[in-house]
Amino acid sequence: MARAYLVLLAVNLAACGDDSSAGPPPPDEYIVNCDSAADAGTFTSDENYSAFVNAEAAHRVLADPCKSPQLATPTPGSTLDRSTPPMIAFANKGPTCQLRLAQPVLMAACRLHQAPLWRKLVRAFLLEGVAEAHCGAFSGENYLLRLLHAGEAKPVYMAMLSVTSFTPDPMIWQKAMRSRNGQTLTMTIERALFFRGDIMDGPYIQPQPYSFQVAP
Amino acid sequence: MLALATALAGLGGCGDETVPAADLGARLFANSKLSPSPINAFSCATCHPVVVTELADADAGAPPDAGPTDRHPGPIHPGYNLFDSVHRPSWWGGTETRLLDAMNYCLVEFMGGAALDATAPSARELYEYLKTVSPDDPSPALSLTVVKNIDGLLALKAGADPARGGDVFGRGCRGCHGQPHTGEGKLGSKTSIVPEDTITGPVCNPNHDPGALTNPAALACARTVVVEKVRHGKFFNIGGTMPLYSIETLSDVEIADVLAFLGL
Repeated sequence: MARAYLVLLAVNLAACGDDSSAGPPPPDEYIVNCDSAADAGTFTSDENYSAFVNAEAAHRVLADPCKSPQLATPTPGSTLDRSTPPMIAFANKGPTCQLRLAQPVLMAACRLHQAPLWRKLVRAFLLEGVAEAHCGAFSGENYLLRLLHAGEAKPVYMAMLSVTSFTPDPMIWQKAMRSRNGQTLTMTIERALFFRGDIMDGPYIQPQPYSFQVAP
Repeated sequence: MLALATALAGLGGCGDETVPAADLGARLFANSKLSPSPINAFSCATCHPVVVTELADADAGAPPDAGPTDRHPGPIHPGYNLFDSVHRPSWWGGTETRLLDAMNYCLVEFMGGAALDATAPSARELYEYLKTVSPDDPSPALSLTVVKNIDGLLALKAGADPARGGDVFGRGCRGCHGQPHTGEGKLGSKTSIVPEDTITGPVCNPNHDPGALTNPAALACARTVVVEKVRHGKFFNIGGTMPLYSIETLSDVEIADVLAFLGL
């Protein structure tokens, strides 16, 4: 069977080619990163961070006071020490949302990429991987925490989390806070439920960020 | 003054003249900004050629990219040739029966974007472009055979040809991964340098052994991971954004040759 390939249609790549800009800044910390996670089922990764970034770019982050993380410590409005990182702890969502898991999860699964549920389930369950190149596709909850200063695009501090309680690395914290004397910083925490690497519910964020004062 | 004039001339080129939707679609086809993701480096053209084909034999019903045994000498893409794609009865090996769903599948799964609504201008423009390169109605559906079990391929070590593998790598892998061993010219900062990133990465070198590049266990692991990535892409619970190469786009022998070329 002979076949001739005649013409390669020229597409104007030069006009609107790939922008090789650096992209969003990476998190300062991954806790617990996939390559050091003791529990293979609970980790975070750069892949999951990308999923948050993509969701933000697509305006899929939902401000929801109930489904978003609820900060416990440090107390909102308190002062942050520049040299000693605080223990940051939060509930993954509001107490009134804890009992309403099943239905939203099911509905989110149905909405996943607007694809029929049966197709997603076939792809997810019948096709099993053997080796993983990036710690595998994650199922579970991850959180993206940012400390921000008004007017600055780059976060003062950012962490991708698979845990709801942690203390930032002192070296990273001190570096982040070096020139922040007396500044007011805001904290946002996004929560997303992943299923095999895709966000199936969320991300959710508090309508109003938490405010802190950095000690002078 | 000259600089100002040059700048104004440049702006004039992007003025408010009326541009046919198909032309806008052609530009979108090659533009990674089709996805709002700031991380995405893929455009439609990264994975899909648009090559006009002419069947010399009247009975030649096989798809244009039917397989490596009769392959054209140009780039090897994971995605099908989109010439004559609009009037196919299905896409993605029959799993998508609406062109918009097939496009959105790529946009969401690989490009980190959000699905386009049928009324979105960009969806319309892409459709108009693809229609201009789809003269035949109807056109046949193309098969997409996903290789689930890779054991046979992993065993294809004896007889693998590194020279052939270098050619396949240049036409099928370098467009995204750049040069082997250095990654020079790779597409985006997140694209791995092959095979070094795989050998020394967390999966094949969990103990951060500085000698991983010569460690037989790490090399064997990397061989498996590379095959998984090529055959399964991001699917099968693998993760990432790489598309898969079906049996129609790369043969097991060709992949074995690439492995030999990479020293795996």
